[in-house]
Amino acid sequence: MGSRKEEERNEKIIRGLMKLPPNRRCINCNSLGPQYVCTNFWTFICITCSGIHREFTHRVKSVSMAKFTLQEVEALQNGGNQHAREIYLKDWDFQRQRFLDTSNVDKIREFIRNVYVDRRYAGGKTSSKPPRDVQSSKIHEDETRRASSYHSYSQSPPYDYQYEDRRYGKPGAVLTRKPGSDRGLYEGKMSNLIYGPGRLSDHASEERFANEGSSGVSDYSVSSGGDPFKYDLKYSNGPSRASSSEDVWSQRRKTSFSETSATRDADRIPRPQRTASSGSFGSVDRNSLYLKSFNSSLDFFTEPEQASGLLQDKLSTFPQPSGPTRSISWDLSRPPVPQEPISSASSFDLFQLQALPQILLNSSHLYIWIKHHQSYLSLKIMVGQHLIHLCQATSAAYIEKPAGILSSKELLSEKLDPFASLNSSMQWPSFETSNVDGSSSIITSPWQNLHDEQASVLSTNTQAWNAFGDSSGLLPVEAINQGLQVHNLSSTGDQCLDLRASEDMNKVWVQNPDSTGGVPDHNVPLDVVAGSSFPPYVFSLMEETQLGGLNHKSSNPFDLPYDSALEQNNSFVDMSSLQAALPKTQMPSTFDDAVAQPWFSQKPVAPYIQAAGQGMSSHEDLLLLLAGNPFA
Amino acid sequence: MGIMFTRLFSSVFGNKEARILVLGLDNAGKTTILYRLQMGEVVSTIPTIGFNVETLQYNNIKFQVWDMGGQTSIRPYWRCYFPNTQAIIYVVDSSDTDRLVIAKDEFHAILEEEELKGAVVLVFANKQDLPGALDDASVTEALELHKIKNRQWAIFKTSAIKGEGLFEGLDWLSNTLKSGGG
Repeated sequence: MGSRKEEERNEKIIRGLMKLPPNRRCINCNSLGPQYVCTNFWTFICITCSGIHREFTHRVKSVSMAKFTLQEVEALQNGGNQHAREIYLKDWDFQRQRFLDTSNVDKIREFIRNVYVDRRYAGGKTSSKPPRDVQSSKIHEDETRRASSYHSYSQSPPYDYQYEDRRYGKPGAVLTRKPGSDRGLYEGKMSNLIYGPGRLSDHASEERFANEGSSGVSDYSVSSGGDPFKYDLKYSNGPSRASSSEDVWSQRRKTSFSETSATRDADRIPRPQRTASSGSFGSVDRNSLYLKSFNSSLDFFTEPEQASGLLQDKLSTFPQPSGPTRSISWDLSRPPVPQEPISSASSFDLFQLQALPQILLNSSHLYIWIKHHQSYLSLKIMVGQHLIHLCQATSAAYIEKPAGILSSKELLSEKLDPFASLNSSMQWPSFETSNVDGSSSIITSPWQNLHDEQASVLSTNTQAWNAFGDSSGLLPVEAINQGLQVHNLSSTGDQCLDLRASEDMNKVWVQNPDSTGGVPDHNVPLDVVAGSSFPPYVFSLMEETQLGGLNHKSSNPFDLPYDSALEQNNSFVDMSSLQAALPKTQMPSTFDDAVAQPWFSQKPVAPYIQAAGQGMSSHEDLLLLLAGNPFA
Repeated sequence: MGIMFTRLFSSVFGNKEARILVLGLDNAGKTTILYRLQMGEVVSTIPTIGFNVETLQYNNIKFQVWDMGGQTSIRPYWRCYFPNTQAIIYVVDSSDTDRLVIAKDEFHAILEEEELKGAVVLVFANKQDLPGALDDASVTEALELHKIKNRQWAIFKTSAIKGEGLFEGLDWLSNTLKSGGG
């Protein structure tokens, strides 16, 4: 064993490696801040996954509780999550990244088995054949490894590999990587990551899809390019919820369908109801939020992805924006909205979110999206919702009434309405009544407009989109207050939002000509896109965020300056024009950055979160995530 | 009256309590063994940070089993738990031949401890279900068990996954504790 000094040095190196974007998240389940290393594959994994790796006799080491030898450090430098992805997840369709639920050990286990033991995605065309060539190459690699530095290595990986072979009859980990820092490699691969999905999806055949589905890899599995932004935490998902979500969803869907149609026909009547419920919802949320802490609420506001996710889900359900900015005191003073509502509400959201994948199964993009907000399932969602609602309210007036896009509309409403029905059928009613007074008095004119115009789902969609942009623009380190104020200024806010909305829609439109069917007109597409389905929407959204994350990474994520966030903040209005100027076919990187920035801008909040306690409760995790990655 | 009788009875016929430490390198299978013994099931474990402690009744002995995390940096904390320990269960990953040397060093370091002078030692050559696992003789040799002086010890081939060998080891332990240690 090396001297103490050497140990420290090694640990320092490893700590440095852990900060590389691909290593910031567990390669398997994408949870934040993996503290373990799997020395078979030289990957960074979380403790949960480390336990599962051990079940497969893979060796794991804790970064903080184990000593690493120089050889191990070197191997890790040459390895890392990015490298492992290139090997073991080569065929993995990152576009389709599905998330492993951290709490669902079985799914993670299945994933690890498929990826590392069966090497299903390791490069062979099909999963079933254990590639011969790999075997030979592995031998070769072993040799090279030995040739380099491994002979002096007391716990030599070669052994592990041999063992693997013996046990599973398959080649074990491969440690072939030309020297070079992880970072360099990572950057080199950037483009791959970004555009890879599309390419991958080309040959991501149906069969594979089916295959995986049957093999039990969960809908939310894995991993990807390793950027922190792309991923969300899944801590918040209880396994039970995950499993039950499907059923709930389908049930809801059925039951609510009739109601949905009714609603559609007589929009006006049902709407107030919904509004009321949303208002109550909002108040509840806010209540909880404020009670919890100001900081956390701020985070949510700044979460662009979350907002978008919420959007999608909540649009129809909460068409009425409850002036988010509206005084906190109002909410608080409100006759005790029970705490339970909050939890129940959040769980509903959860359901909704998880259910979506089912419907949108075909869209790989969708998955990403789901991933995005899946993590936000808890309280935060509500907050985000507020944000969205807010935006909706302000921008609603400007949105045109949707023409007759019945089919698409139907689709949407079908998806969304269940939720609405849920609300009304569940506990909401009581809230509604209590809230109605308050909300009505507080309701702003924009909302009224919205109401009259019946922008309904479509409008909400676009607005949601706006909300997204809005949130990203506001993101601001400045503080919640500012953001709130902006929202409040309905007149100014409206315009901004309006602009943004159209732009966004454009983008969406351009990006997904196929899905939308190619409507050339600006305005029309807006409606069409929004109404047609989530996917395009989601797609663009995702794309943006994803790109943002990636770009970010490539441009040294660690240094993310606060100033940049501030800058954005200042240029709230400018943003839209900037976007407009950019080519529509491609996502403007600036915008991406803008979207991504928020994550980092949250950093200040981190200390608070960490102070909350050692245990990684789901809540805390969320916060951490939002806080912009405490990878430091 | 009944209570008194029970106490009397147990003091004569056993029902002893024994404090046992389960030690070994990380990933040796300590936690799995603990819960296999306690619940009879193979549980899914994660690397132990700190320890797990469970009590289990076996052969009229109430074992208080402390399963200590085995990762390098937390091994130094084992010694905090040494006082009043009647027995050590030292778990070895028989398939991890590369680290047997480390396992041996740790093992003998434990035996050096003054506070463990009176503790009996039970070695589990674990993971016998894995191909390439060394048998008990090989592990005995690798750990240099023969160097142990003035102490009762035994080694068993075990597989925590399959549940083999564990209770045999516990049998030996309970018998040894009953006969020998107070």
